[in-house]
Amino acid sequence: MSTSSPFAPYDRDELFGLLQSFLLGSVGIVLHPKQQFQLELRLLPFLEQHNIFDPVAFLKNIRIHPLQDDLVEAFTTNETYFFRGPHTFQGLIKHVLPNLLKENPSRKLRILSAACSSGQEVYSIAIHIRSHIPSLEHQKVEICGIDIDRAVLKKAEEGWYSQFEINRGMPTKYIFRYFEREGRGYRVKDNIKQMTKFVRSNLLHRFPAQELFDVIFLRNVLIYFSEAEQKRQLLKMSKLLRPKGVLFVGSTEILPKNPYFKRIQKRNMVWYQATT
Amino acid sequence: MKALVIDDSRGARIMISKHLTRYGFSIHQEPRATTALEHLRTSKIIYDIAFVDVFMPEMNGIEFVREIRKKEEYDEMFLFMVTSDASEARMREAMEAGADEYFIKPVEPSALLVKLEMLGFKFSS
Repeated sequence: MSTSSPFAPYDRDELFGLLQSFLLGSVGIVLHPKQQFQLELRLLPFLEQHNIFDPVAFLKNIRIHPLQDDLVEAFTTNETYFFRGPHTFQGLIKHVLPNLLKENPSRKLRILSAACSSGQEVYSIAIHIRSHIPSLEHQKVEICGIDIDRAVLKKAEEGWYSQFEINRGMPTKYIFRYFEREGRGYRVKDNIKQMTKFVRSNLLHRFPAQELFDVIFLRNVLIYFSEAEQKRQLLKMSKLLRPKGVLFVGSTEILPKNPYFKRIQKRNMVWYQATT
Repeated sequence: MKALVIDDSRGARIMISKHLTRYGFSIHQEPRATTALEHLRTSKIIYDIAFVDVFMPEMNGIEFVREIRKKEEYDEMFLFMVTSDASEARMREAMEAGADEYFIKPVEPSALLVKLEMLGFKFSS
């Protein structure tokens, strides 16, 4: 038993079990037994912040609690960089987009950034396209970022980043071209912003896609899921893609065997093409 | 991969060298832009990249960049400014002088790695 003040006494294993079950059921995040530190790192500070002092009672009723979404947000990881995994962007620009443009020169290209967090990946894609394929007008491409965390989506929509955030990956030559100085940071210029849109959505639930996507970025997301859940997500991604559409995952991620995608590698650039 | 680290602060040189060594660079350090120029002239080594502080006595980092960009033999050498000066004017001055990147301290290793990868450096994961 632990009686760490100011909380009502609770059994650590029971509390962790409730948390695991909630996160797995609601958003498919797997907490491993060795991650019990997440109780102190995220759960208890969250509860204290909301003046909740009976952790077990809270988690037992979490599915009908108004703070359910806020708790999910507290456990989703937001660490992100501009241009993280540059090979992915090279693969997109050098191979994937040229092929798509050759096959469909007049159709609008649609790219999805799943779990886009505060928008760095979305803007990195937009900036890379604008910089390397300047002939592709903004009306001909849409990069859609989705995330379940309202706070990071708001930040993504605003498109303002501190000097520290800009320092994390944004090449200096692009800062001058695609950002405007504002206060102690930089704001994305309109010619980049108009290529993007942001939607709040939970990956595990039905995504309200009216049109299919040509490319999906799902990087460093599946690693949080069980293998069975990964396969379900891959099936779902394949259904969100146009025939022969392309999926990018994190550079160190290895997908479980599945019938929905085939792996394609050109030098150090890797992507997955839908088999249907 | 060979890197030249130029900074008048010994602590800053050690810090960035520590990160770079972990990424597989072999490092040579110089405390001044002037001594770095002399080292390049006498050693004839062509480094893959130089990490250059902006504010140094005798010759500042931007003057060093201008000198290097006059010399054809260093065309392939990346010049990576590392400084605590976040002013846009200084950033523009450095880039116009011929720097390839402008990185603001403190040096966060993973952010440094992303910028190096963007320049085309390859690291084993």
